[in-house]
Parts: sequence; structure tokens; C-alpha cells
Amino acid sequence: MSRRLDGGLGRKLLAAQLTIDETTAMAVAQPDRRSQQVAFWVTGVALYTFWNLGTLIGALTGSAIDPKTFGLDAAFPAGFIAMVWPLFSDPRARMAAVIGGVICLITVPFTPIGVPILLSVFGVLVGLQKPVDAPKIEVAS
Amino acid sequence: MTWTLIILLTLGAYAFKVTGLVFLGGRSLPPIFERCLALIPAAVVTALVMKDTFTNGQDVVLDARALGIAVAGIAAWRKAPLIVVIVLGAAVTALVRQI
Repeated sequence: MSRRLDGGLGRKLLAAQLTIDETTAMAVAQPDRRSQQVAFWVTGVALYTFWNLGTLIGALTGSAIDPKTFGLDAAFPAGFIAMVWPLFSDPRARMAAVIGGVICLITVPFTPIGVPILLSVFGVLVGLQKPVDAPKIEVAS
Repeated sequence: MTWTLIILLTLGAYAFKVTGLVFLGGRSLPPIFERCLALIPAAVVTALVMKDTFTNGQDVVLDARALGIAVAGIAAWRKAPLIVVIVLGAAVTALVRQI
């Protein structure tokens, strides 16, 4: 993310607090640098506000409401799928996604919670290969 | 004890993020790293979707969420706005649970 954000130390220190899955996903989905920054900050501030507000409400109401009744547990993956979808226009991102997703599901049963997500990072090894759609330099023979 | 742990974890998590953003920031990396780093969101966010949809603790399960997320996926593919995708995913999941 550091290359997508501008500003001095103070702003970077604040940005670090807001650097999470959601802000990253929203920022990288934007086409240009300007909208990437807007996406990062707007998502970050909105999320920080409502996340904490939601936590407070949850703490106060306790177990009076079961989030599953409203399918709220599906709201997260649904949001993530909307955020990640624009990336799939790149074939290598699709491949990285498939590998990451498969690694996650395979490792879930025998690794501690959270580890499958870390292991899914191996999907990025698709990037080791040079992009096939890179402009080829024609050599006259 | 609980609070000590919470504060320690908070500091750790923040330090981890500051390191990346402030100390490593701006430096350019060899293209091969750049290519790999650019793929992190696709790989990790997809893994998060898989985990949130098909698992329950350490069990791989197939339940109402699968249908909800399938509908959300179709909505995302049809370029529906973010909020529509989220509401559809949640609503379909809730509906399937009612049946």
C-alpha cells in the first residue's frame, strides 16, 4: 500500500492504523492513484467509525440478536467478493485467487484458525512467471 | 491479564503495519517481487471469501452461505453496486436458513 499513499510521517502513522483487508481491497480496485487514495481514506474512516459503533452496540445488546438470522455472517464474504471481482480481469490474478482459495480450504481442517489465510499468500507465486501478455519485442530475422 | 494481552496485541499489530508503511514504504522492489505483491489481494481476499463461506471453525461445511455467496458472486459479476452485493448475499443466506 505504501506506494499508493502520499503524505508525511504523521499521515503514514494514521494510514497504518487503517491498513486492513477492506481498505486495501477498495484502494487496489481503483484505476488511478488519486481515486486509490480517496478510496483508502473514505473506506478507512467509515469502517473505523462504524466498526467501533457496531462493536459498542453489540457489546451493549449482547446476545439478544442472532446475526445468523439475518444472514449477517454472509455479508462479509459477499462484500469481499464484490471488492475482489474487478481484479479478476487479469488472468494471473484469477490464477492466484484460485490457488489461494484452494490452499485455504485444504488447510482449514488441520491448521489453527487464521493460518489458512496466511498460507493462501502462496497464490502470489503465480507472479514469478513473466506475464504472457507483456508486449513482445519483435526481432527482425 | 486480559487487558495486558489486548494492549500487547494492539501494539504488535500496529507496529507490524507501521513497519511496512513507514520504514519500507516508497522503496521500489525488483519487478519479480512487484508482480507477486500485486497478486496478494486476489489470493488473500479470495481465501477470506472461501473461509467465510465454506468453513465453520476447523470444519469445511456446505450450508446456506454457499447459496448466498453464489448469488453475491453473480451480482458482482453483473457489476452490481457493493451494497447490493452485500445485501443480496446476506438476504439469500437468511432466506435459505428460513426454509
